[in-house]
Amino acid sequence: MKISIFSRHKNQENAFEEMITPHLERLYRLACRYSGNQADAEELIQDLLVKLIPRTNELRKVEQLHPWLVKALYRLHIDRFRKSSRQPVDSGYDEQINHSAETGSNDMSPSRIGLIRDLQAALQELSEDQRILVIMHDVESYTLPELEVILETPIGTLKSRLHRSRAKLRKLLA
Amino acid sequence: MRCKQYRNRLDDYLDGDMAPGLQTAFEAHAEECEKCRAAAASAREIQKALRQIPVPPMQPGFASQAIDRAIKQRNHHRHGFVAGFSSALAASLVLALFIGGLVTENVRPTQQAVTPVVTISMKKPQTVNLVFDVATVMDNATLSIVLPDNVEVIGFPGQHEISWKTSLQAGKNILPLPLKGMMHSTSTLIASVEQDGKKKSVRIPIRVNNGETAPQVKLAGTHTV
Repeated sequence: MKISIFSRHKNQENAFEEMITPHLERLYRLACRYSGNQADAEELIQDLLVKLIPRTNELRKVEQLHPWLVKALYRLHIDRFRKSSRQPVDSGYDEQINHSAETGSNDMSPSRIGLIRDLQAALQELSEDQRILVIMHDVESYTLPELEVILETPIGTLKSRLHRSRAKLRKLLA
Repeated sequence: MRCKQYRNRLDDYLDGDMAPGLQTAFEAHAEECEKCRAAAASAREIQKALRQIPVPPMQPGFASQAIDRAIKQRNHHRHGFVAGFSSALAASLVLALFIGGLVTENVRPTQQAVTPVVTISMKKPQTVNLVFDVATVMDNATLSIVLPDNVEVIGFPGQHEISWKTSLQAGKNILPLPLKGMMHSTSTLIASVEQDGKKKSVRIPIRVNNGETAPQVKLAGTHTV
């Protein structure tokens, strides 16, 4: 009987899908925040998966997979951002805002909707490091200890960066 | 507390990261200062709005499609490697590994025969056929290949350990191992079979050189695993 080393890939593929799928929704949210539009977010996630699949064995050994994956996504975004030197496109997500306002599920007064739109514009004025930190901490609610691992930056540095970023946002919105 | 101190500490307050003693002074200042109170209210409003910035939902089916595409892309890359390798294939070595007594406790003593050195040329990739000769069917066995630095398995760039689960039929099970020389040296490849916590390994010396390798060398029976 002939056996194949490549049969390993089938096992790998199943294991990869099982490990990654529970995290994809949140990674996708982050990718949308990073890139500012769905098409680039999908491309970012696709690139991430292509890079990760040969590393399935390594993923199996990771104790805290979510922060590990978020870190991988962040690095990939930063690489692409530096290479392209492009600014994230502000899609505005206006349909999303209007939908939330119509369903009334959140506190979406006209003044809040206006503030969200202004915030989206103001976020584009931050440096990429500042924007990413505000997105991850204030928008997506990652804690500073989590971000210390994900962004590989000491908490003290993150705190002062967050302070400066928020101050700039307030100034822009004043 | 002064207004400047208040503004500097506002983020700590909003994040709930303020010492209790300081918090009392902080709140007392807000009671007295209308401007700072307004600044705090505005900052709180911004924090709430940040959490409400919408994000579009993932398209239905995107997750599975993205994973499928990643698998296809990886497989396409791998098949490219193997196709290129096959055309370059000049010779094949056969190493027979007899798996005696792995399943039962009745392990026959390992006969350490003189281990042949497998020679791989830097110029041409080469298949080494490992023959796992087992007495009975072994379901759910784990095969592992630990590679030295001087070779790679084609299709697995940069990987020093490859392991996977498979079933071995009674008799000879042939595993073609497409090897590529990476540097001139002699080192050792370790092939293992594991089942139910019991493991058997064989160490195969691999020499990588610049020269030609002997074609169709059959070394059956030289290893007992």
